[in-house]
Amino acid sequence: MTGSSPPPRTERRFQPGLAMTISASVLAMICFLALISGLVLPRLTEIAASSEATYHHYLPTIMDNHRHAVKVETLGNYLNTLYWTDDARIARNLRLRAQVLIQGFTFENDSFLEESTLALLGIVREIENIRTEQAELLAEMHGLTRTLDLATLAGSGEAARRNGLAENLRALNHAWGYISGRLHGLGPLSGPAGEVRDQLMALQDRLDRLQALTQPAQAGSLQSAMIRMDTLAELLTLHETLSQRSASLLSRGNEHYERMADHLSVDAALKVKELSARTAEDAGSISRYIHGLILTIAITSLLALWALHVLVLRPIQQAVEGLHAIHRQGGGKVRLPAALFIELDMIRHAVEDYATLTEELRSANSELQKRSEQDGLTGLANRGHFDDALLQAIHRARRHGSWLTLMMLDIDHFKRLNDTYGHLTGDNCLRSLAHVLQHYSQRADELASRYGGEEFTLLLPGVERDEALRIAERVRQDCAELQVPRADGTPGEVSFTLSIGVASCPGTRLDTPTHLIQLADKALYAAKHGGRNQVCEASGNTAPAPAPLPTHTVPQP
Amino acid sequence: MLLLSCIFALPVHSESLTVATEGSYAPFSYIDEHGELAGFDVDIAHALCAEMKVACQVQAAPWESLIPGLEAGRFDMVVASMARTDERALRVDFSDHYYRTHSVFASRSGRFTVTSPEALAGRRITTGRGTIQADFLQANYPASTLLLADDTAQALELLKQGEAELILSDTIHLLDFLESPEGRGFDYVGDPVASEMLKAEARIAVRKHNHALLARINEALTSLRLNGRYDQINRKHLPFSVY
Repeated sequence: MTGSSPPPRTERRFQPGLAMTISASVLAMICFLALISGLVLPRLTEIAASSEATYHHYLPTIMDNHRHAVKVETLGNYLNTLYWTDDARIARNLRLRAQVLIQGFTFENDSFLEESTLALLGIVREIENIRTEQAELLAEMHGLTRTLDLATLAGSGEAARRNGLAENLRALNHAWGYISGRLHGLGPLSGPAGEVRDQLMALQDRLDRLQALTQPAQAGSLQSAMIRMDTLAELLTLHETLSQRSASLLSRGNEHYERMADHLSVDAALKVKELSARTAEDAGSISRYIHGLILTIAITSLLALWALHVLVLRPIQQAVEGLHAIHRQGGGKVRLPAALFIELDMIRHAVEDYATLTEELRSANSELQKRSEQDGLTGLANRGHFDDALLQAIHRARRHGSWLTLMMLDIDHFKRLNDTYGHLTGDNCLRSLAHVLQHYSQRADELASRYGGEEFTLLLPGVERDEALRIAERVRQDCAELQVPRADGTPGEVSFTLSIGVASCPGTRLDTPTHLIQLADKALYAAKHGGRNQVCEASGNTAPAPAPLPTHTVPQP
Repeated sequence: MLLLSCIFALPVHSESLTVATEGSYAPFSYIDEHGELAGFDVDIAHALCAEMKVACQVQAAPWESLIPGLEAGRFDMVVASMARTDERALRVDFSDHYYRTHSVFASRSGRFTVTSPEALAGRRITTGRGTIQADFLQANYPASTLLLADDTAQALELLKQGEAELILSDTIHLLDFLESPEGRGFDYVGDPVASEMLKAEARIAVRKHNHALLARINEALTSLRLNGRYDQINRKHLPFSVY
């Protein structure tokens, strides 16, 4: 992530804009919703239309038909019961009910039903009338049979007995009794009436044959019996005709009834079944679409969440971490992985560029700092840096109670050297000396600096007096051995000597920087006065002088 | 019992309605042998209230007092085989119809066969006051003598006693009379009177502008017809469907 081991700057070939991607996603979602709506809405409309049709058309049609069917069936029942009943009161009530029921059909706006039921009412009325007529006929016939006794026709005369008339009449009377019994049992229906009439006519034939045997006295009563029987036969024929008529009326009525039943057999129920099947199908597909929609939204949301994390938040996080790294490291190369979206990639580039810029600023800054601390000619620390370093070194030495050595070095007769060989050669000498001093100030806290002109300092923390003097001596010797090339191109080298003043102090005795400088300065002065090219040690404030060293010791002024 | 059920029903149905019917119009509303209000209208009223989940008190009131009672707020609903007329519609609102019926003349059997105004000129015809039949007779039979009774029961009395020769009334109501022993000697005369004035659809009346109650009544009527309750009541009181 950070610039510690940056991968090469990666670029993506396909880079959509974040704003554009969001817009496109929203647009796609809207299109998807529109598609789902386009699929769902017609189905919903269809369902609504189906329910509407079922509620306002088919259901009422089914209800009406059911109602009509029940009424028509009731009517059929009335018709048939009326036909078969003997009871005039029941027949009347049935006719009354049929009348009311049929009147109800005039409400239905169905001319076929209205006409058919009115025709049926006519039939019902007619059958009722026939039944009334038949009842009257039967009553009349019953009256006729009651007053006729064939057995009495023979009389009590000897002749009747002789010619077998009485016997024959008794036999006939037996047959008559059977016939009149059947007549009494006669209902409104056709079958038995015809039979009875046939039997009656057979009886009449036999009676007719007996006429020859009768005496004039009996002929009249036999004749009137014959006439009565004729009447009876006529009435029976009439009764039968009426029965046949009522039977044909019944079959006509039943035809009407069946036609009405057919008329009422409509396919509304089937339509409703189809509609509900279609509705169920529609609802099924709607539920599938909705499930699809929910699933798609769920998946899309998860993808969007993932994309937000991986494609948006992670690059932002990486950019922030990059910035932190820049802050921590103060620049350097920062390489971030490429982001998918242009906007985020721009941020990435900005962070990377910022890292580079920070690095440049930092190096520029350190260069500037170096310059402010360095002596331009020799590359050693300048006076200002030296002052700071000395102060810190004194603080440190006091804190730790360690030794601190300060040397003051000065090139002997430098002015003369300059005058003789030129300033450029002088500069060469200064640089050569600086090189030597750098060699003796390798450790972290050690510092060689140009104090001014041809004066240098060497600050050596932790170096005690003896060690300091030995180092100073070595520096002096190294310097004396230097062969500095001349700067004007003239062949030959230049050499020079060095005077060194050494001030070494244990931390407990250290005073101000000025004081230490003064001590070193006095030692240098002593070295100069002692004849130059020598090391002198500062005395006075320093520690009691140790054993003398094999060096020139300059007495303190 | 009714009071008891009302009291028990009260916590559930805070609403309570007063329903009025005529009480002298068999088989739609009459006082039965136990002295209680019974009939098609009465059962329909109870069924409607049960369907609307409201407590109801059904009471009988004279025909002429039904609409004024509704207007005065003494009743909330009138279930009394009332047909919608323009005149009535000005004073009350009507529901969808709950049964349909015709009017027809009745007289002693065989006395009349034709019912045209000319044929019945000078004849004494009776019917209930304030009914659509009365309106119809006044409009169409000016030459006949009109005997207006307080209610149809009284009109039937006039017919039985011979004071009126004919009665013009609802077919189903007359059927009830004609099928009874005392109706034996009487019969319908002719076909039902083919007049739009007499093609009656019985409706439930509510106070004018009580649209909320009206909508609930209509909805309950549909439910009763679809759930079979209507048919049960119909079968109980009448030999065939009258819807």
